[in-house]
Amino acid sequence: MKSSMQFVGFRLADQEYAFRIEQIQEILIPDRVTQMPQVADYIEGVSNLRGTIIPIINLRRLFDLEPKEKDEETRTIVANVGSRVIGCTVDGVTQVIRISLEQIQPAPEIVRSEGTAYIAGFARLDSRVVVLLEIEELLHPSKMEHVRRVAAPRVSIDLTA
Amino acid sequence: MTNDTTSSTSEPDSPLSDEMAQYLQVYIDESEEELDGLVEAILKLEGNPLEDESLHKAFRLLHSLKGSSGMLGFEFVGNFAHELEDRFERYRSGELFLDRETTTLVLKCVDYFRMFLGRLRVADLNQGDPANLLHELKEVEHRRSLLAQAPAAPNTPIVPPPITISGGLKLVVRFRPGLQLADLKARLIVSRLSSIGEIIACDPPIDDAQSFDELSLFSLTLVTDRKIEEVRKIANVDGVESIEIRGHEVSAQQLAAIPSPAEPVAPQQSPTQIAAPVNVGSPAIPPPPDVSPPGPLQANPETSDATPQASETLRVDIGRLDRLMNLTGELIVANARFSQIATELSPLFRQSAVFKKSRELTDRLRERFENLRQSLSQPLQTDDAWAQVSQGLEEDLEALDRQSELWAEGYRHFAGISEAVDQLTRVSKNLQRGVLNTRMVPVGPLFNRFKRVIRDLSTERRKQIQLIIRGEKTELDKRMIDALGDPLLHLVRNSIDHGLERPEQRQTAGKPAVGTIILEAAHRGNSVWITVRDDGAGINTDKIRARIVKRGLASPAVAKEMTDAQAIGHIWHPGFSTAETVTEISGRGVGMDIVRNAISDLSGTIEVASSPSVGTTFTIRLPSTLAIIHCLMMRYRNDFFSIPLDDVREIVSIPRVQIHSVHRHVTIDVRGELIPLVSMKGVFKWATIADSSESSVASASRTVNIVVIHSRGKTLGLAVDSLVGRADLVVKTLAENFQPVRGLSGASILGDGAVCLMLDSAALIELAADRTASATFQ
Repeated sequence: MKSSMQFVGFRLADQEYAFRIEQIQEILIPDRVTQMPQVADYIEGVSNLRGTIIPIINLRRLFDLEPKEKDEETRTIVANVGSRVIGCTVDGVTQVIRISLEQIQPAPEIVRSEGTAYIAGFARLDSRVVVLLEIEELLHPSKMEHVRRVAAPRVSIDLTA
Repeated sequence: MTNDTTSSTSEPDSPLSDEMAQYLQVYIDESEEELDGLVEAILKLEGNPLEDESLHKAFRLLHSLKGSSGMLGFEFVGNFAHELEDRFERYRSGELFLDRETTTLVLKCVDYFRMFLGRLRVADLNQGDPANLLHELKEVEHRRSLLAQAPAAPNTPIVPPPITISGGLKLVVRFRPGLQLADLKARLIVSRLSSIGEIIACDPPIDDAQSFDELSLFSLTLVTDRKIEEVRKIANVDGVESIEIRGHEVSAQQLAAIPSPAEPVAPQQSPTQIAAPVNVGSPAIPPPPDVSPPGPLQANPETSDATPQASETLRVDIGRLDRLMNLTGELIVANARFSQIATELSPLFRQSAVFKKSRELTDRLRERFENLRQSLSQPLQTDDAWAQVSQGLEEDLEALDRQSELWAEGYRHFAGISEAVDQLTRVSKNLQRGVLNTRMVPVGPLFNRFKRVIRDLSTERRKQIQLIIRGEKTELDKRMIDALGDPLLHLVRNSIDHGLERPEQRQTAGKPAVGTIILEAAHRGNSVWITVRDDGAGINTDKIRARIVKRGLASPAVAKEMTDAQAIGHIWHPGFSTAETVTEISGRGVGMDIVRNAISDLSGTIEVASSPSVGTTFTIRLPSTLAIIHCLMMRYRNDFFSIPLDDVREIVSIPRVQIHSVHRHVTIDVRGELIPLVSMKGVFKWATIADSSESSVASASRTVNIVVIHSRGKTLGLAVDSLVGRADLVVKTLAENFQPVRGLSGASILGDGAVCLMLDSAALIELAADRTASATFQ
């Protein structure tokens, strides 16, 4: 079935996002995180994933959204970013969604011009719009600073307007 | 992530079939070893071109290289090995001579093979083209034969008798029969002759430092522009009966025709030195007399390169060892978890009161019940309901009894588990030690590579250099050995280029003309120290200061105020170089910072000490193994941090009132020594911690726990919330899944599964300096 792809949907504030399922290793209830000095605020710290030490990225902070206390909905999505394994915390994981290619639209010109390569496209499902994210562009350690810059409120306002 | 995924991603993508790749690995490894042996043999032959054993060894190694290359279908490589093999056969038979120029060429051929193998490692099957090298070789041979045969018949490849082939003179020196210490005299003659030309053969090998009980005669071949009579005069020392000289005198013109002028080579390898001192100079300027090799009464030739004892070995892919080591690391972590659980459970069980009490409780319950029954016995005796209740209670009590027994049994089992965990700990520690040992290799081969470097560079830089190698049996993790090659090469090149002076300068300064570079490895506690030392001019601090100013790193006034040590510290600055001219060897302004980074990547440190005209010493300190680091554990907020024990000078607990602020620099007084003090909170940037209310526990208490850290000659006090104790930690790099973080050298997993970050002492001290520097400017 090439005409559709599977995504893992998740929530951040009021927006729904999704990662391609192949890039997701697992979804966890947040574990103990050791805080790390000398790193940006969107890096929560490091965690022990069965013997492997992985960084935990707070997606809310990466997108410069209001911080939020962890609750029982909060999840850590463990993703494969190249050869790295990186975790990121989201407000909640919604569901696995199958999206057909016709439902996917490329990111609008205005968004792309902002250098948001991490947005792979938009999918219109019923009444909602899901932002499809490109993990390699979003969570690679060398690209996160860029993501933070372009994801600053200015762009979010453009998106919601 | 499972281990399997890590390991599979580390395998390079190879266009080759698995089977082929497997053979290739063996081929590459073996060929590299063969090339090492070949270089060793060639360098030995350089001192003595007719030494049979080395000629044979070289021949045999090339033969084997030819065979294996052919077998895998590397036709060019195989054929080229064949050409070389053929030449060594002729060197052996005396048909050709392995003179200095040829040696250089042959070494270049080795480089070709190495390049090929290097490409092969990354699955590049390009064999390159050795045709040029072969052509050069043939050309040299051609010139040699021209020279030997006079210009008459250039096209007839007659095999001339070995006596005249090199165009040199063949001397046969006969001693008086029964002469005492004839070998010593022979050595003397060789050294005298070497000052007027190049000795390309000597039989028996006088420089081999073997003593000959009875030496009635010896012969040597000398290339020189001197007249026969002059040569005879020089060779004629007390005890010589006759000197027979055959061959042609070579005119200066003919000599000049050889592109690389016949350079006089100090012919004798001093046996305690690994590489022979190499004299470089044109024949017109004979080397100064004291260049002649040190004392003739040196003992045995080096034994380090004697073929290693044929112990049984197995070639193992290092990737497998890595995996094994990772697994062992995980085993240790899992084991630590067990130990921790056992430790936590133990008081629970060991307070025998717990189940004694349950027993007591049951007894008391039973007693009460009995009393109750007696007091109520009359009216309720007939009551069925009561009888039932009573029976039920009794059964419950019995059940409770059984539970107590089970508990007691549980305790016995627990004691067993506890013991088993202890045993498991012992076994896994031994296992880990064993696995680590399999990865340990001596530094000898790494050091030996520098013989060639010194040989080539001393020629190029026209300096006389001897290399002394010490502690070559010291073992280090294979990965470290692999990673040390480039940094060491850089340091050695630096010594040659910037450190060691030219022979004339050295003599003016009253030093021996031959400069010395010492490579040494030694165990010191948990570390291995590697030093690169030269007896050169030392680092020129005036030049450094000028450079600091020029690069805008400090004002002239500040630069002038710096101590020598502070000025020298700038060599680690990225892009810092004091070379006056950019040379091929070093001085491109890249290097020292890269060297330092490479060493830090191995969790090591590098320091430099230099004194004018005495020399420069670089000291590299490495953990003896990459896998386990002995640490001090401490706590900051809710997290654990570790610091390598080697970096901890002491631990002090100081009353808060004794912390002084001197001109905004917080310091403590440790036995009269003022040490700058930072806190975990102050020295690092903590972006994630917003709340300042939950400030350090330490600030509430009256005394402060301080870890005094020292690294690279600097000292720093670090205030922590609490000290936890020491631990042996398996350290993983943060770069594996993230990126390096300044101030941290890695992370470990503790027994309870928490992640503990390891502090990088050197970086911490730098961070502290940055912080205070910026604070004073504000």
